[in-house]
Amino acid sequence: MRDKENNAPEPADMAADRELKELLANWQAPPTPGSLLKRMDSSFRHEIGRPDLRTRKHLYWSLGLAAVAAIGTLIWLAAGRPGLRPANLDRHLIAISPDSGKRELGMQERSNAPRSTTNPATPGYVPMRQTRLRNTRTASSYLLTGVVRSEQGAPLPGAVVAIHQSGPDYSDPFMAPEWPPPAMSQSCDSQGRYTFVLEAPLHAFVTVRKPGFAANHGQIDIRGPEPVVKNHRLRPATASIEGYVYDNQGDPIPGAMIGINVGTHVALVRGSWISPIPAKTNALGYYRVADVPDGGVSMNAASSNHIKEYRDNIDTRPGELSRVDFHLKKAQLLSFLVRNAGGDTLAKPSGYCKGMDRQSMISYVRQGFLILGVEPRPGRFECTISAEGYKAKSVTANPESQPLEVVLDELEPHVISGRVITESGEPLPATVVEIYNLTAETDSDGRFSKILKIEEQSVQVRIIKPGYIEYKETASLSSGPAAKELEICLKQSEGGLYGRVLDAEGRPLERFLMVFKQTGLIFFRDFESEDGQFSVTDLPAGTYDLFIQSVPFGPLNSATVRNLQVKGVEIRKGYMYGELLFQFPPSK
Amino acid sequence: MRALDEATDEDLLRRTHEGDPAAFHQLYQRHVDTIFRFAYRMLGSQENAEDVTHECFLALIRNPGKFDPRRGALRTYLYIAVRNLIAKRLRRPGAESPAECEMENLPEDVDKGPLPRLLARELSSKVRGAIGMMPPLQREVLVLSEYEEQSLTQIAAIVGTDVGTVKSRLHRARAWLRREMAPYMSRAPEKR
Repeated sequence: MRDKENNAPEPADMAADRELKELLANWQAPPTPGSLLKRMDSSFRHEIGRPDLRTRKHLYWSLGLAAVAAIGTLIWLAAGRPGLRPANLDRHLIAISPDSGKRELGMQERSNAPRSTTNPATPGYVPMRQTRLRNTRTASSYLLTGVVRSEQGAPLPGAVVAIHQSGPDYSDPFMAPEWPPPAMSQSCDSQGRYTFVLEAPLHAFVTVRKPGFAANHGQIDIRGPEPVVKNHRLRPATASIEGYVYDNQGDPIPGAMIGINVGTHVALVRGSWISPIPAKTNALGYYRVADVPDGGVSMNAASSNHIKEYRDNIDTRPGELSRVDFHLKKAQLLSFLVRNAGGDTLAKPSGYCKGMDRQSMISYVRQGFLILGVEPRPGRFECTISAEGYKAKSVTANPESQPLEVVLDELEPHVISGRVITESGEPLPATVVEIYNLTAETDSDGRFSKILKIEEQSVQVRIIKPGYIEYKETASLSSGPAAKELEICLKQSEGGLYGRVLDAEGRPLERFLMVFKQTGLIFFRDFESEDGQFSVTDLPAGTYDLFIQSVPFGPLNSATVRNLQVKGVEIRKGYMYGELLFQFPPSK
Repeated sequence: MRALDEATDEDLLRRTHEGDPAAFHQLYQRHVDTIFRFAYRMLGSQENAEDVTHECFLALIRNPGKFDPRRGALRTYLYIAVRNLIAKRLRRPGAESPAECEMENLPEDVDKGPLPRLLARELSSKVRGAIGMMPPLQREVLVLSEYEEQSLTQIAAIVGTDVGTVKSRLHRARAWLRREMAPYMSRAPEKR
């Protein structure tokens, strides 16, 4: 109820108040936008979960609660009751010596330190307990989020972020690599932010586009319950390039493929790089490409009968047209018909010739034939022909002769399987096991298996799971189809570190790589966040030398990448060392 | 089970935390306009208002235990929560003053001619500017009283002070407005 008696104005002021009210009525609030409901819906699903998952969760809870409680109590008792012990007494601070890149960690004792509210790895609880809680809470959804900005750091609202199940097909150098239709896409909000809520782990490609900027693309790997942050910086693209492609006789080459790349075109650590822009020459050998990134690109031109030519450091100025002509050398063509033992032609064979520059060599498949375009020279060519799942074969080829038939033997399949359990023997379901650049996921009993058709005799098996110490093993593959059985026991985290990394000017680093080294051990962790935060909870206890490498947006080279070495970083059992601040020294 | 539109806020909140999206929708629809309008008038920007409204409801989902029905209605709780978020946002370095924010993009009254529309737009901009320049403590009581039609007792509960203080802030806010809007009013503003 409105207490009118208290609120009633004096009679003399009544008219003025009425007039004021009429004036105030002129400012109307806009209606609540519908997009807010969508955004809220997405958050609701993420925070509370879908109803069916909730029901399932209830079932799991009621079935497993007693067992989990009993096991948890036993572990706690067996570990000497480490839980809930205040852990903020031991803290590390950096002793800064600005003139040297190397820094020593000093130890300082503090008590009653304030708790960090931003970092989940807050001191006060042993990490084992924290990670267990984290694992059970967010396992139902996976978050991919980030900010799209210009090179100067201004957010780019309206930039479209798309997720593709597969990347573009680059196998044919004379076809423009087109992206497959996106599985999902989203426009960035006014702050340049985007967020995808996914229901399953995902390994996919992301493209980011905005008119006037060079498209950016990269790969993502979303496996754990931790949200994956993927920020992008888009480079303005307002320049144009035109030119002609001739052969060494001076005749124009129609249909030559022009590729434009930015910088060194290096894939970053979990990073992104600018999509190459393809173009083709017309009947007069002329090409023109618009929306080329400003500030320098590298180019290449290729034709089916010519050696690929590269040009680096081409200056492209905003809004200006540059001219770049190419004169391509005629190539010698070697053709192969690649079959398996059954007589079927193989879809994607590849090959290279000994003593040839692989970069300038052209390789493409036409109607089942593999064609290699190599620099002309007298004599025969020693070539190695391979295809995925088949054993590579060395052959001697004659240029300009009939296609050489090559029969490749299929590799024997190796089955690698195993079971992932905890120290107490509990199976670990939904755990991603990396085997030879491939991944397998454990089932509800912690079991996984993968069939490999590779020439190597041993493969690396690796598991990174939050809350557990990273597991690495080199497994030798037995000959024949006999399954290689692995019994993998993941140890729970013993301790950890968290903190921030700053550049020389004190700004948080958005992307950096941390390498923890100890005799015989090396662990890589890459981080991406807007405020330079890191949190490491999955390394074995011990003292490490830590190397931090900045991973800037844009081309990677010695001028942009900085390194920092910190000696004596300690990961101590049962403790979470927090609020560490690593700052790069000023450049000389 | 009671139909959703008849269910109390407490019932809806409980069912929300049991994972019922329909209950959450109902609860959200019941309060979102009020909270958004308040946030918009305090911050002067639709984007910022959307953000704090979102954060406010997110906090409600994340920390259901913080709302105690014995201490007041859910709407009052939401007002308090969004007020805290607004204060946090206004404290940020470089936070825009509502008066400096972008021109609003409201649907215009197409029945009016171009001149009345222009005048209405100018007046709206002046009111918005005047309220935006007001100190936040006065601005919030004015918005709650004039636009949200909350009683003095309710306002006191939301801003965490007593009715007397609310009355004096409201008085100062109105006096400020009269001074700022004097060219548009027929009566001269009161002298201080």
